[in-house]
Amino acid sequence: MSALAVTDTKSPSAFAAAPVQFTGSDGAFRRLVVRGALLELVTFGFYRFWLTTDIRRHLWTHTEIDGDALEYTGRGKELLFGFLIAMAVLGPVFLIYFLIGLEAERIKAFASLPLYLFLLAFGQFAAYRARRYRLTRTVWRGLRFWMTGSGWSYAWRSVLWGLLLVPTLGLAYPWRMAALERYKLGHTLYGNLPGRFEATGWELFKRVWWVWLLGLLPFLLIAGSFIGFAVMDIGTNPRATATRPIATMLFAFLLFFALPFLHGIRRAREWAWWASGIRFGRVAIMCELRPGSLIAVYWKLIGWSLLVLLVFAAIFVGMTAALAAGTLRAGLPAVILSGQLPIWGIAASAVAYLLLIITFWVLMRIYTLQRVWRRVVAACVVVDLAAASDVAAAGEIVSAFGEGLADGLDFGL
Amino acid sequence: MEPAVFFDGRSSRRHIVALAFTDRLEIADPAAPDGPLLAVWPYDAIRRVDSPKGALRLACAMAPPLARLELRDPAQRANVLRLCRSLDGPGSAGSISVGRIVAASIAAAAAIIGIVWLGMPVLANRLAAVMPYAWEAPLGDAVDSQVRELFGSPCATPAGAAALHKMVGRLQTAAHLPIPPHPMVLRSPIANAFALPGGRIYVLSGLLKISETPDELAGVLSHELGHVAHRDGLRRLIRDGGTSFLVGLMFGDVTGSGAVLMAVRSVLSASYSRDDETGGDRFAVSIMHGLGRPTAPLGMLLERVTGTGGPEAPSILRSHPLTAERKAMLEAENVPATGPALVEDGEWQDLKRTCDH
Repeated sequence: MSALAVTDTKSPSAFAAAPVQFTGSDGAFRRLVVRGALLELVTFGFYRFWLTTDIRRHLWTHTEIDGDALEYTGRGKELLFGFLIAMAVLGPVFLIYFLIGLEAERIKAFASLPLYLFLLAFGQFAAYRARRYRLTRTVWRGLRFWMTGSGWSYAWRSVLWGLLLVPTLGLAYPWRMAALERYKLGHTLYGNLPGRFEATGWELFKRVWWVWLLGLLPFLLIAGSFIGFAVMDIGTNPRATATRPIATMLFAFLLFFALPFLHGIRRAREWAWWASGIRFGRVAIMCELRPGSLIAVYWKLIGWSLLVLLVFAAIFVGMTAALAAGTLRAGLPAVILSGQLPIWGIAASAVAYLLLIITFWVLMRIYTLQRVWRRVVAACVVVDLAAASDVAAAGEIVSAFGEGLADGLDFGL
Repeated sequence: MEPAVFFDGRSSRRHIVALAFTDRLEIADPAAPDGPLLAVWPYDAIRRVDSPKGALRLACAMAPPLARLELRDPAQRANVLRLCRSLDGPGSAGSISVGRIVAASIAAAAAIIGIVWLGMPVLANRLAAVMPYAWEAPLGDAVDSQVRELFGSPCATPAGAAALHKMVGRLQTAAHLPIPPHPMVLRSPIANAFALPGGRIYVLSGLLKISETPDELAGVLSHELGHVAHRDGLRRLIRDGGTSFLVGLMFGDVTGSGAVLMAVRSVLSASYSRDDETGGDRFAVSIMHGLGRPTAPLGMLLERVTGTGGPEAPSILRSHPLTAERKAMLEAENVPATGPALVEDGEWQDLKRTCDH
């Protein structure tokens, strides 16, 4: 009772923190994606709609806010239909795109390149609409999330902010993120409780500016040492100038080795910044994500990827040896070039190649999706959740057209 | 006993509820035992949805779609499993038949490959047949500037250009193309020639250098006129565009599968273009026959360009028929020269030197 008395004297929000938990097991998710990847292989990729759905169902169902789990109510069939409708729309769009490009090329060679900008904007439009689909399929305590706003309005913001990234060497990134999140969350609702985004670009900049600078450093150093090499040719004292570029090169490679660390820190700070900026009415999220947890995830991903590459390289060498042991004396590349590869060799390489991509795909899903999700979720608490204890239902579901567009534009670029 | 939790789907209010298993499932607020029931769910309308760890989460087909009941108590869960016989009925999160997805996908993939393999060439032929020749000109114009940047600038002495136009003009009297061909020499060391839709024919100066007689070059030019007459450029565009689109339906987001798709596409388009090249050779034969000129020189030129070294192996990736095969065909069709030479000796020398300035 005394503890309760103490809380009453303080600001109520500081103590009404509800936990967010991830209750899923790594093994269950691994089995889900491995099985899904194999099914994708035998269905020529068509299983992706159901796999995407199953992954979301798994992650949502195992994410609990204040003891109540989220639910994902989307279905694979909706994604398939959304994709087919998107294809029907994208067909003519690509045709028109092609014809405009043709006209532009007539006027000047490669003049159609700015058209890519339109395609990029279209991709952002698709991303916004896809988010809207996902939100309306996200349910918590019997209420769905939903979204207003316009996909095109978002797309132009995204592209214009994106253009600003080029002259600022990426320095505008925090402000772009903040502006886009403000638009997205400002048009997001839980039932009739409107959301908003309160974190600012300046706050993100303060957290990550040095990582940005360090990440830029290797490229600057390499550029610098190349200039150094060029100057060395003209220099009067070759020995003194020769050591300097080599030292900077070494330093640059060390920094490349440090990139996973930097990336882990940056992602962790960005996630924490993003989550802590989310508001729904008086409800707020607080996120304290340790960079170390994400760094470990990235190194595991790198380690497994290297191992997989080694295994496949061994298989490749073995196949070459098997070929060479036959009637063929030439090495595999020469055999392929001369077109003398037997049909079983072509089939085996195709299968090995597909297995390799599928394996990487599984690793990416496990490490960059589920492990990151688990850690981010566990690092968050919800403050003043009582403000959402009696929200009225609102919002309707939308079709998966946006998801289909995003899928369709994926191979278009 | 862990209490059941109920959400009515109209508000986010969390209700701790008491359940009564009568002839239907009665959901009541234990704090107000005499008040109205929160909900009454018929057993057959109750569906299982995605359940969090340690709970059974239920929905009801006759309640608001997002109304949820969460049971953690084993006795209550056993009751539901016993009484509700349509838990995995329509609207539930019951497992989807993976077998059906696999079967449907394989059928869809077979249909796509079938359309690409058999339907696309037919579609391209039909579409090309109904498109006016005038539509091809913008296509050729659009690629023209890129071709010049990739291969080299056009070069022509007045005498060389006149000789080239004379030769192509003679070929056109036998070819009767509906659009007059526009020949052009580009400065490039590569020994090759190609045609674009709209009748643009490019000869790279490397080919002029390696050609020894007018009949050799005329053979190449009439082969290219064949591509224009058969509208191979337009047909290829339709085929490749349609194939990319259809094949792209498969393997949407599997990263890296782009390479597989590219391979499928290049195998397919190589097999199409092999037919196009054979068609070009046959066209060249008929032109040269019509003008009373021999066809064997074209075969000799081909051999000189590709080299005679070693036997060529057949490959599914090869877009041209084998040189030896083509040469044999051209020699079999050879006739002695009966018509006048296509250009005079002096003109031939002018043509060969058209890029020498």
